[in-house]
Amino acid sequence: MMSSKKEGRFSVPELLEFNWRMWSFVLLLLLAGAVLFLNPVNPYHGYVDPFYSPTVFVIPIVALFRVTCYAYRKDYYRHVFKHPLACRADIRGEKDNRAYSGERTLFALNNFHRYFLYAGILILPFFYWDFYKSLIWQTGYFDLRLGSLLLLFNAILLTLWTVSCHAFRHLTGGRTDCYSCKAAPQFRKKFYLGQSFLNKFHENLAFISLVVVIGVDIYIRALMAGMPLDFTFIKVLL
Amino acid sequence: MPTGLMSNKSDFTRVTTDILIIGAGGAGLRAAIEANEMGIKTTIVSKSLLGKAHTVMAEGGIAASLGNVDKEDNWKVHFTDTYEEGVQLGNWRMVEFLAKEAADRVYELERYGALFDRTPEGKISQRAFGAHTYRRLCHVGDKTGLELIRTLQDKVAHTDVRIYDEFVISKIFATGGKVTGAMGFSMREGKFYVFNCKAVIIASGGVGRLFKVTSNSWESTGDGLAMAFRAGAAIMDMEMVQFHPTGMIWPPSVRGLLVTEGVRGDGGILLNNKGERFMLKYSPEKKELDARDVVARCNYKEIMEGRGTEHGGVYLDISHKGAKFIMEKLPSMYMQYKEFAGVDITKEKMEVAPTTHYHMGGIRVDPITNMTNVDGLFASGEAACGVHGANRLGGNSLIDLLVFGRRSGRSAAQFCSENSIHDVSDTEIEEEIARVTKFVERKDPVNPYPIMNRLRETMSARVGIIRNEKDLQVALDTITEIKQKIGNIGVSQGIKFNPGLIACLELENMIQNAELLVKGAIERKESRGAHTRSDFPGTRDEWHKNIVFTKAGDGIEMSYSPVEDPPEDFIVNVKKGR
Amino acid sequence: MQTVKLKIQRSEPSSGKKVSYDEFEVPVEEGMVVLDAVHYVENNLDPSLAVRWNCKAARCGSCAAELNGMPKLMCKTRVDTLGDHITIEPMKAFPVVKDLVTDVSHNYEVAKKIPPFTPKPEMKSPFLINQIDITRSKEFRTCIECFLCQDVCHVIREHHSDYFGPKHVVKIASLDLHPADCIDRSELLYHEGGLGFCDITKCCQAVCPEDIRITDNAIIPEKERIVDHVYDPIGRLIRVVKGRKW
Repeated sequence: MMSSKKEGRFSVPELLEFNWRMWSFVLLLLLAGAVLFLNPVNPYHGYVDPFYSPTVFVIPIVALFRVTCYAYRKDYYRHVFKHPLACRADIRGEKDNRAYSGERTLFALNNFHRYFLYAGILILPFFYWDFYKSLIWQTGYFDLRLGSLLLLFNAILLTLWTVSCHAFRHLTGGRTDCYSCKAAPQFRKKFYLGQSFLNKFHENLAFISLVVVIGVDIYIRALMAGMPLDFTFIKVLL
Repeated sequence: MPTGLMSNKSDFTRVTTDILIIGAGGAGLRAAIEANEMGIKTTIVSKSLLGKAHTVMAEGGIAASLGNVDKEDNWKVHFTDTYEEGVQLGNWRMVEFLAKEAADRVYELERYGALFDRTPEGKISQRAFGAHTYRRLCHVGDKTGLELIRTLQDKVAHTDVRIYDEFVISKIFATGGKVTGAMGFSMREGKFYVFNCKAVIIASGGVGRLFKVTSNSWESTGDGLAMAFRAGAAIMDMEMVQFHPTGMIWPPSVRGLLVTEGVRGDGGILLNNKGERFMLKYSPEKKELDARDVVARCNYKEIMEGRGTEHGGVYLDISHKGAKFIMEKLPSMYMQYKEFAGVDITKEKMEVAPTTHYHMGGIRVDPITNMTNVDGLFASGEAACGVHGANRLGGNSLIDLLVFGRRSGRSAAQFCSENSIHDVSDTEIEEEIARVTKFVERKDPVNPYPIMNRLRETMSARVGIIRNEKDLQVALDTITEIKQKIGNIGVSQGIKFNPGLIACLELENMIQNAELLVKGAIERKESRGAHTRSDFPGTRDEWHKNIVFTKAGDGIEMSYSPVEDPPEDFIVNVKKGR
Repeated sequence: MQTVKLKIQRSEPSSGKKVSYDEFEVPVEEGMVVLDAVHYVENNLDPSLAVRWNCKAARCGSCAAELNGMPKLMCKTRVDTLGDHITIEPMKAFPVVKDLVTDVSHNYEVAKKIPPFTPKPEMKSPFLINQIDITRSKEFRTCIECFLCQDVCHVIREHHSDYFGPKHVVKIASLDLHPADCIDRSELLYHEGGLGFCDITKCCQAVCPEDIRITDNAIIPEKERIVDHVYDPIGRLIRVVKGRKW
């Protein structure tokens, strides 16, 4: 068995092991990134693809927000690095001769999650703005279409995922031990409880919101390709 | 070596300390804190792991007349409640200490780090409980005992008190009416230890496991009581066993498991199979919140007269309070019924029946010093006797642990500073080692468990809530018969973590305790508090006395001890039954 | 009569008895839990079977074991949830004393390192504390010290490190979040406690019999407190300006 303390501060033993899960994951990410940059989507019939809002150049920040998120960390530590794969003894894949550094060396960078959170909060309003713009894309008309609803749904999911973030919860209420020592204690506590309630679903929200963003992107690309997938609910002259 | 000098002999280790505390429940830990603060070398031994003692099972709360919710409350009302509901059998001096020191002990616990539920003003919240005139029970949800023991455990962990856990004490040594030490073995190491000390505090809990249907955990076999008796200490009020009105009844696996009185304190009602709230009939004023002995008898009566449930219990219903309230105030009750019985108590009724809960009797102690008639032998907590009389109020046991744990620690420390240590003779040690090892060395040993189960079944069937001469005599005959049979009990394998060996040792103690208990029950020809005789109904003045047992040679000597009346102004008349 | 087959791991390392498995057939009753089945074995088939138990009511946390590979309390797991073959093994994260009993004393050593509750100097007894300030700490105070979370934690099972383990982070969180307490124990967790080893894979939370959200409510908040002090440049700046060590 290794004593991780003596291992040297900057070794990342997880990365030194042969790990096809990790490399196929990295490859997938690189491919997806290349696709996004090489095949950009311009606004189409008032719809802004969420990957390009406000600009495609925020994608690295958003990606880092996802990568450093506690929910995703759990997923890749488990399924990519198998530390551990599962909780049950027979399927957890434990080996007591593997070196391990946890979040002490490279992965200590995950502790910068809150800065990506700040950036994420700044980006959030753009998704609502995109929704609003999609309603009035034709001058003089109010136009509620399926695509607009999808944009709204996407924005709401991203908001829920962001609000239920552990770091966000810590910054708004978790860091205090005494609510009644601060101003508006009842409000603070209720906000904290609300966030804690959402936090129970953080992992689900993280996953669903990712799937929905990709889904909306594919949807808009499909519309551009001419597929008849859109549907108008209300269209009125203002 | 934090405590004492050690010298290794061939087959045991000798430890010298000032105070040896047997039992790491609330009383033992509190005593250790006190003795340690007074600068006395203290050692605790505990039969189970540290922090697992039966105290963790206490649910409802700690009684103390803080007056945070009901301003009218004061120590005299607490005194009156405790003394009167104990049907005047308690020692008034001890009840006085309990009522007067309760508030200090609770606030002290808070300073140690316990986090009680609060009132809107931010004070410690107090809930209503059976036969307490005012709302008096400081609580931490329904896990007050857990909080109490964790707090004390933390406190002790940061002192230099030496702790031996998973350690069985098998004998207390006393020569010439004076304690010299104790010995036992470490379950984990499988090694014998001899403790040479000036004082021993017995805080080893009650005898609940004498009964088959019980809310008590594994330890409560009354080892301390039996060992104290053998060391010459007087044992008192053995017949006074409290039956809690509400224990789980179904499925059989959890039969006897406690349903906290907090359910009734927070508005739960008892119903029979016709849906009648029968407590209105039996106790129109206090209803479900009458003393435990009363409610237990009423439940028993309903069941016996055929108005019980399918599994032989009555219904306890709290569902009208709504899910939010129940989840906040009684989370472990919700869990308990959900997990074990598949019943959702926020929607459905619970099935409950009386269960053995607490032993009011125990080792007789001096009310002021908590010392027994053996010099240097102290007792506190459930193992001791005198506070609760013939019936204990809910919440009084936790405060008993704190008040008398501290008092016993203090007076034992005092005793240590005034007395010197006496040697334990090698012959005594050799004899005890031989007594213990014979259980694991026997050829073709008899399994102790079936015998133990028979004893427990007999006790539950014959020495239950309603007793009579005939049943008690049958029980006594069975005990005598069992006593003859245990000559060959034993178990294979060594002394290292061998539950069968512990069962052998416990069985001897249990038989000892059961015999005293049944003899006391036969002797007390009246009904008082928890002791109900169908052949002698009602309280009788000539029995306003304690029954005391002492060891005489190999036999038992029985005597009576009069009960002293408290000063008149201690008893206050407040309108009962809020 | 319906029966269940128990396969129980037996061993006694100190006397050289190697790991073996004994099989027992036990009759099943309605609502029976695994501990009942083990008691049946102890009472009727083999009284020397070592098992640690106390309350049999999921209150004391003594009877932790691995049931079909999953760390669970024997007293809280109904036999009918595990099928008709049950493998019972001791907790693997701790050295075995005998059969199902493990030596958990290391946990008590760690507990001694955690600074005890220290009230703020300005707090006057009796304390005035608002109910809204106690609920977070209260969640952790339901911990019954069963050490299942310690057992399932891969850092403790597989790697020799100085990580205290989930149970102790819960304890620290319960003290840190006490509204009257004045010590910040996240510093201890960062340096001595090895919290960096935790990779929040949440098995501790999955096995907690008291349903404490160990990772979400204790470990991550403590990690965030460390971030405040160590990784957050603004927090670092404040620390330097104010001349504070932590």
